Amino acid sequence: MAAFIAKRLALALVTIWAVVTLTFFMVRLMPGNAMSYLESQLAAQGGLTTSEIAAKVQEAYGVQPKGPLWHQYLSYLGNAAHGNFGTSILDPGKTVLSVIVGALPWTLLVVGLALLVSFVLGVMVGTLIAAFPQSLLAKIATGVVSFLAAVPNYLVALVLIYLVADQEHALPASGPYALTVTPGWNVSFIGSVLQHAILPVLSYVIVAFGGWALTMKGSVSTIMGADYVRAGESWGLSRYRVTRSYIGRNAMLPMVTNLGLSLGYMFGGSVFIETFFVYPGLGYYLVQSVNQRDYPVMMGCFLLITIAVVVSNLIVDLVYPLVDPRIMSPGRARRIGLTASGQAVEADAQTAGRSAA
Amino acid sequence: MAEDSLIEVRDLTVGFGPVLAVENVSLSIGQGNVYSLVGESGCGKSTLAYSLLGLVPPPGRIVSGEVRFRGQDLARMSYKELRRMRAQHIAVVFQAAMSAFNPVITIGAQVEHILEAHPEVYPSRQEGRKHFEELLQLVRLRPEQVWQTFESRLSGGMKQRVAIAIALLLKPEVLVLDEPTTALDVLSQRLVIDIIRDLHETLDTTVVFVTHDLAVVAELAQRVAVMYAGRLVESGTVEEIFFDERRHPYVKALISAMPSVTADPASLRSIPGQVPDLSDLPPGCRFAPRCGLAQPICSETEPELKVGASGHAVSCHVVNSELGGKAASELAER
Amino acid sequence: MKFFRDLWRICRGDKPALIGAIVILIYIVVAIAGPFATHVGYVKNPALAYLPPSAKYPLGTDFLGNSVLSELIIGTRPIMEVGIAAAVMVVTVGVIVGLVAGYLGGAVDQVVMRITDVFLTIPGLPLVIVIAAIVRTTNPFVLAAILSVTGWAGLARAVRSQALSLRTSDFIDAAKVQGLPLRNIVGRQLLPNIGPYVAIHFLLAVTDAIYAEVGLYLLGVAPITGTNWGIMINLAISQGALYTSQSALYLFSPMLAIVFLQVALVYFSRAMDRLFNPRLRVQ
Repeated sequence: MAAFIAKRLALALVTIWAVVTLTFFMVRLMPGNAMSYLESQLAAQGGLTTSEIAAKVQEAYGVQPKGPLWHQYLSYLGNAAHGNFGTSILDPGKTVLSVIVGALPWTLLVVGLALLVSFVLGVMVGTLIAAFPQSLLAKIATGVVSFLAAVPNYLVALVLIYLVADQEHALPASGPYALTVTPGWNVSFIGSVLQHAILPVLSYVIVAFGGWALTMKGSVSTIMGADYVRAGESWGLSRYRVTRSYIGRNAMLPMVTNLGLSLGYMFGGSVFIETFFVYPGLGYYLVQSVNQRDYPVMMGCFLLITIAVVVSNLIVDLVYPLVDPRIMSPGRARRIGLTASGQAVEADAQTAGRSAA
Repeated sequence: MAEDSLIEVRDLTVGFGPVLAVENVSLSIGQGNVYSLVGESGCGKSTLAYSLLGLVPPPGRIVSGEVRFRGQDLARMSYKELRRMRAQHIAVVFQAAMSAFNPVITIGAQVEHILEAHPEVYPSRQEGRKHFEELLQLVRLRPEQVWQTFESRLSGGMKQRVAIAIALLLKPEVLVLDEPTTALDVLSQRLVIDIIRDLHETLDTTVVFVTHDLAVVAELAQRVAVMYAGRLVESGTVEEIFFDERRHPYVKALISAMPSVTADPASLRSIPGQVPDLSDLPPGCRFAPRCGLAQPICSETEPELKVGASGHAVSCHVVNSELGGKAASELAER
Repeated sequence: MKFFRDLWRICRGDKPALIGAIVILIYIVVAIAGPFATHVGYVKNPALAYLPPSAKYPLGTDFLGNSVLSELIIGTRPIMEVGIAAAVMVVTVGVIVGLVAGYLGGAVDQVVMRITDVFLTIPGLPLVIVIAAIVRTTNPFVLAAILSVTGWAGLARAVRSQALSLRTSDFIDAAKVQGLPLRNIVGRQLLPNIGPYVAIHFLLAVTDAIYAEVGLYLLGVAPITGTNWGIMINLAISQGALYTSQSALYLFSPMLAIVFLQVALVYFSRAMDRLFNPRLRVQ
């Protein structure tokens, strides 16, 4: 078990390191890269000495513009580890870190809620369709869901905005919460937050729940025909027990496996959803900074989005053994008398005269 | 016969949509018997065995007929009523127990589920678990290898034996085994056969096993029922099936098709032709197209099951009529 | 070829798939023939702006006075060009990487798979946006390359596991014993096995690429030059189309064009999946 955790952790760290390096490459090394761009901009503006330019660039990106490349890289890594990603070019008083840390909770809220709702809805609808495949409801549901799952979620967002353009009070289409409410752990704030989250979450859910439902339907249909389900019934187990531990648990496996994939997709979609709903999450700031050429903020947003995806994937990976306990560590196998290869050794020497291994 | 029969099947028909896998089959299984259902693949023997427990895999369903266990018709029972029957009175061991276990929970957890579903059998779970461990030893397995293990860690032969132990857990009167030796290596086969024999001798369990392997039938069975294309063509004691003069041509051909270690390879006979497609059956006797004794009547009407004096039942126009005797013995010379 | 016979088999059995295939074909034809059939101007003609649908302008006009239908038709080619190009790149890279890793095995496999895992985890869309922002390009193939930067990883994984299982199977040993060249082994043993999977993944890659591509235009990250559906929606929104019903057709026609194509691709790929990966039938 420990080895399993260690392996996953290592992979997550390597991925984060890879992304940081990738960011450095884009910031410093690519032709037309951000730092050179800023340098030439400042130089064109005039009125600054080269060392002043260098200092400004360093402040913006947290990287020394001069010096050997590996030195720049290491300093960049070091700064990143401390959370120093430079400052915003447009708003030099603000650190990139403050921007992205402020934006993170909003993205997490919407993506988290959307994932939860679409997953639960998908499980329910998918199971129902699989349980009553011939019913009219199942056929309609399958048709609707198949269609919705193929629609781009940002188009759904735009349609929603178009439809509720007059209903700003009930279904707000911009901002994380009403301007009239004071932030804090009070009911009106939380209520406003949730109210403003409805449309963004809905944009995700309308498309995503279809995918989950189809996966669940396929999974349940397959499992229902499995031999071990009939075996369970042959043992006289109750319908509840068979549904829960024999059908249910096995049908959920592919769903949990897909969680990781889906997370990446949803964080990616946040770029659109947050922009259209003017929702101050990482996606929103990413797009804003791209259009405003505020590269340090852009890099910071990209980095944090990726880290969020990596971490949530890690969490799913660590939770998976709870769902599928077959992933066993070698140590546990030894303790219950199995060989290192995991195959059980034959019991006594009663096998037609031959001695056991 | 009907008086001490534990299981009585009357005119059972099981269908998968329009195709009838089992058609109008009647037989009775006495208490303490070792009963074998024999036939080629697709003849309906497995479907018949599973319908004893109401476990016909969907989309199959019992179309008509009765399956009476101690007088109660299982074909008409609800899931709840069947639950009581299953495992406690009639237990089944699936063909290829390879996939008969839930892959994500341990064997032990599955046994616990069974004990939980039938609390009246054992006074406590510990009792039940203890009994299970004794059964494991009966099937030559060590409890610690099995209880906390997932099915993926066990070999095919081991899973088969665990399945047998599980089937016996609630002390059922009847044990149904679907192809218990198929898909096993020779050593495991020998083990399973010995286990079944031990069980019958020590616990007096009624055993019903389905197989296409006549050698196993010869070793274990007391009574045999032979099926062909969904119909029962012959039933009787194992001696009658193997040696009697008055036998169904198919049965005779099957027996003579068995390779013998000592016999001359040239004397090996196969049955010409193929098993008919159940959705496209020939009129009359289903075996007629392949039968050496076929008469015109055979392709017109289906033969009836005629029960002889000793209870030996055969379903064949030729064998059951006067002219059968001569033709049959002529063929036997060839 | 067997491949096309399989495609025909899919269409026959599955009505949505057949419709999907027809729709895709229509789009391809429009993409190729479109610019020859009609044209779009970029000079503002206020007299013709936002006209309602008529015989001359079946879908009305936009804020420049252009026929929306013409824009739709002309806008098909850029979208599909980039989408298909990106899918081709994704599939090519994915298959090659997967085959190399799976067939060579050992250390090469380990290293390549770790790299693939990293690319699999990095969220594709944000990365695409960032790269597109830095490399501001109008070249469709460069754009396609950017769009395919993470898409190949999933296919590489699947191809690799196929190659791995085949490598250790008797298939390959038998081929080797017969002295068959590597080309033959790869061409005749490996490729046909992964064929269906690659085809399905290709279609899905096209949908992903179109999703990302239109998205880039929507956000204004990709340069607004020429006409395509994404740009149409972008311009419509910036003209306030979301808050008025006057330009509804201008706003929604490209959306529908996108949705129909995406749905057609997804339906067809699902039908392929059903055919090539039959689920265990309850029997």
